[in-house]
Amino acid sequence: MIDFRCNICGAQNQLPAAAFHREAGQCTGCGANARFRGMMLGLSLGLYGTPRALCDLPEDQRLSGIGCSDHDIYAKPLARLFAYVNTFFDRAPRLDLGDRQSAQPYLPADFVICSDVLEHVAPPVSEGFATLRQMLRPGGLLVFSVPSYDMPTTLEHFPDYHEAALVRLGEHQVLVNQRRDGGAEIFKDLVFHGGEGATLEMRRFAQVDVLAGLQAAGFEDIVGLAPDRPEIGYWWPAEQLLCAEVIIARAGPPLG
Amino acid sequence: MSTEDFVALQARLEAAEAELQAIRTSISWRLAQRMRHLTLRVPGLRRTARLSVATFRWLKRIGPSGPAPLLRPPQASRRPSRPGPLAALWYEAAQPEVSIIVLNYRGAEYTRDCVESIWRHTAGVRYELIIADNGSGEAELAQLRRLRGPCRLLPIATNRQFGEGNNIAAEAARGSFVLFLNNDTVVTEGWLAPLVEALRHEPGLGAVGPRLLRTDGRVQCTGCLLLPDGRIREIGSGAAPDDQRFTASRSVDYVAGAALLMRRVEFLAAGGFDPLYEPAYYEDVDLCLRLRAAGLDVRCLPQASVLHYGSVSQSKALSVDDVSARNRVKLVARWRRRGPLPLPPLPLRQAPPEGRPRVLLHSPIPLQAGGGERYLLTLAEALSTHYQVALLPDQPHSRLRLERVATTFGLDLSRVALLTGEAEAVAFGPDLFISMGNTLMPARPSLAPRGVYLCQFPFPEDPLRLSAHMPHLASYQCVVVYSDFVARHFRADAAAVVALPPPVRVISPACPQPPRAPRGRPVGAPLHILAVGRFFTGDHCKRQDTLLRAFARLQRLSPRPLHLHLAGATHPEPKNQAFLLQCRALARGLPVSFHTDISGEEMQAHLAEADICWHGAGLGVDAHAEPSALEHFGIAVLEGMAQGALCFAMAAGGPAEIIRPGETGYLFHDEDELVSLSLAAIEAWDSTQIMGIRQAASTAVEAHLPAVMAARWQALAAEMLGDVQPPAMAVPA
Repeated sequence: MIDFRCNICGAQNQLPAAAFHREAGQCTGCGANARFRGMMLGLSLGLYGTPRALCDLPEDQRLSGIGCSDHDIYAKPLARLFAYVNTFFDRAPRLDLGDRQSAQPYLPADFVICSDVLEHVAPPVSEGFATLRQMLRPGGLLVFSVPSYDMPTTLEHFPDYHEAALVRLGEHQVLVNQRRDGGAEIFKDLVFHGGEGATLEMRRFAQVDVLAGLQAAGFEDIVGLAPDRPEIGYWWPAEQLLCAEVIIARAGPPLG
Repeated sequence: MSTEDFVALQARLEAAEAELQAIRTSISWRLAQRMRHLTLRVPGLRRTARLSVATFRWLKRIGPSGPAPLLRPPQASRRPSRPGPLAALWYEAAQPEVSIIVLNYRGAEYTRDCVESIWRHTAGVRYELIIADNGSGEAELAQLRRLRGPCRLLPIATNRQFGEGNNIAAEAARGSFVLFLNNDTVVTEGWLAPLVEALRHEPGLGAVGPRLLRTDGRVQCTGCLLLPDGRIREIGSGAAPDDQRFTASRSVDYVAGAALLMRRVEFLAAGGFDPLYEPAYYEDVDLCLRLRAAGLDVRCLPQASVLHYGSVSQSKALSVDDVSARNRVKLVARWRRRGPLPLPPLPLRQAPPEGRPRVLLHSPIPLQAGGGERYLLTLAEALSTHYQVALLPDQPHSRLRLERVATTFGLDLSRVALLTGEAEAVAFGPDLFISMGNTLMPARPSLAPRGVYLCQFPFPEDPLRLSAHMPHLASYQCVVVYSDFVARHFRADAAAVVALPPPVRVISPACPQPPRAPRGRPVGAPLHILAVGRFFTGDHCKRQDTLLRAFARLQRLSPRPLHLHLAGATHPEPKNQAFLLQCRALARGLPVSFHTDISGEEMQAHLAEADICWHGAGLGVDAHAEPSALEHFGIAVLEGMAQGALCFAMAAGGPAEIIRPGETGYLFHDEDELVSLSLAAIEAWDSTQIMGIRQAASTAVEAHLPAVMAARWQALAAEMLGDVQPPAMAVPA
């Protein structure tokens, strides 16, 4: 059994080790999973240098933050504590990480939270990293996660993605893509996260490419937070390939 | 008890008596009179009535309708206003410490209540009260004149909107501090002194504001925060007035312009409220952000309270949400780029040349950073070194605004007087009148013995107006236009209606930047294409939509990576906003950047980075049927050429006179030709031929330097005035 105090709502929990996974280990108080707790650990460490629970943080509305489709479990407390705005791909306030123009309606923030979004962004994924950098003031904090794997290179499922649509064929959906050169292609065996819909998996990240992508976009002081904090429930058993730990990084000076 | 305390108590007593009187004269009090008599005779009934009233009040308090309002909208017909004893004690017309500015626009009832509350509750600070009427009309002014108490009425002839109205009033203020107060507010006891006290003793404090209360007594805000998407979070909104979380003073992103106190000198030095946000919303945010960028704190002091109705003077024609949303975009765009650079200190007004002839310049358009304004103000600067020069806009403007526009253009207008209204113009006694216009006939006759009509283009006009204004033209001895293209059209149009029109001269606008050698790019490096122009539809549209389509095609064909930059001001009208949205949609997925409402310096930086400049005005226009839709001169073309960019413009209108095709740039007739010519140039980009064209273009700009324009105008003025002491000048051939 693992005893932990949720670093979002402060509830005391006791769960068997087998119940823990990146997407599991739900807190009985707020429902947060291990990943959510890891994100808030990253935020606290990045902002204050100490692992404080969200419910213990002082209100500081002079700190501005932007979320990328953040879950309400931590988006709501963040909105109470900070000058924080959660954004969405499909509704206002809108943000498409795949289009750096969509960062224009936002003032550079003190922190940006982006958890498990970049694997769904249309290629090239460098645009997604660049957009994240544009959302931050120099020195601003990125709290980031994406499922990534210990493999040599990222697997882009649709490398020539240009103008595409999901089409239902029988019981399954396929992706029909028109490449830039005008040619058409069809993809089957699509992977959706959280059920079929808008969260189509576009790629499987190699962990090395995650770090390289962040660096290329102008992030510095990139630190991975290993899931080894059972006292706050940020813990899961090591998997052979999946890395997917929470990463914090600082936005470097503006790029020319 | 001190005299002040006594006077304060007396004022409170007077206010309480007034409220009691209001209750006694109310309909509900009179209707309940019989019931009260009955309850006096029957004790049981009295208990029942009390219980019923208590129950009713309790239900009302917990009910969905919320607490009873503290304030009700003011009534139109009411007793005349009275100042009260505190006003007599603290009002100071000659040397006030604080100038309270209440801007009125068709809300005299609210203004009266606001002013009365100021008279009743302001103590501890010597103050003056300026009621600036923003062009509400004579009937409204008459109501304001009936206010029986100390105040200064400042009529502004037309509605200059929130920011400019307050700027004009701040320039007329006499106090060391200016307090901007919405007319839909009611101040409370002890509201002003703590605010002034804070600014008096803390030099690092730039602006302060009181707690704003809603009409139901709950907190509207104790200062405001700016969220990353530009939306506002009102701190403490909806809280009970005694909620301890919102009773301490706090630093905030901004305090609302509904009640904002600053040092007057800092307000003026900061440039006042920025006209970028006209008609309203976000001027206060921007002002406070500028203060904070300058290292000054902005704070809300909840010990001072002001009740606020909110949005009562907003024009019904404007959708608050639309205006606010547009200005939010402007604010974010500006502050994303780390905000505007602090304005340089206002230039000291310099004395005009003594005893020299007087030149009056007239502009019918509001002062903003546009091409016509640049021309007229460049002219004002050029003439002000030799003559006494005054500027007469059709609408009242603040000096702040004039200086802001002059700074944008890099002009020194410190010798130029700014006049308001024809009476001041006549008193100025001009010897030469230069009037700018956009029609064949000038809007007004010359106000001086000699007149020059500066016609930007003879746009089609209503025949009745044309006929009414026809006699005006005879009072001008000369017409000046920007280009031969305009001169041809003016002469042709004038010949059709006037037997002997004045002679027409061409004095083209000046390129503000000196030419420089073209800059090379590493072979294969991305090329920057820049299109400069305001985002608007209709006549004179810069056709960014067509340029985007052309760019999409060009990008597919180009052997080099390209990036298109679209830079220009935005217009608030829905059709123009829709056009901008359409352009953004067309840009999706393309390497395109929009730079909207940027400063002159930022525009200059984009010009300096540009390899290619595209000018789309006139695309798709029938040059014979709609000559007015063509570029009349094409200053943006010159600016691109000056920076050594390779310029492409429509083969019509003014640009066709500037560019020598194949020698100093390229002229195209349609989108296809723009794409093919651009592609050919990109394919040969690193050749000596392209570099030669860019070099020749840069050299050609020398004929359009500000000194050339200035010399031509000085020569014309001397000629018109028969000036016996003409300035030394050398007019280029």
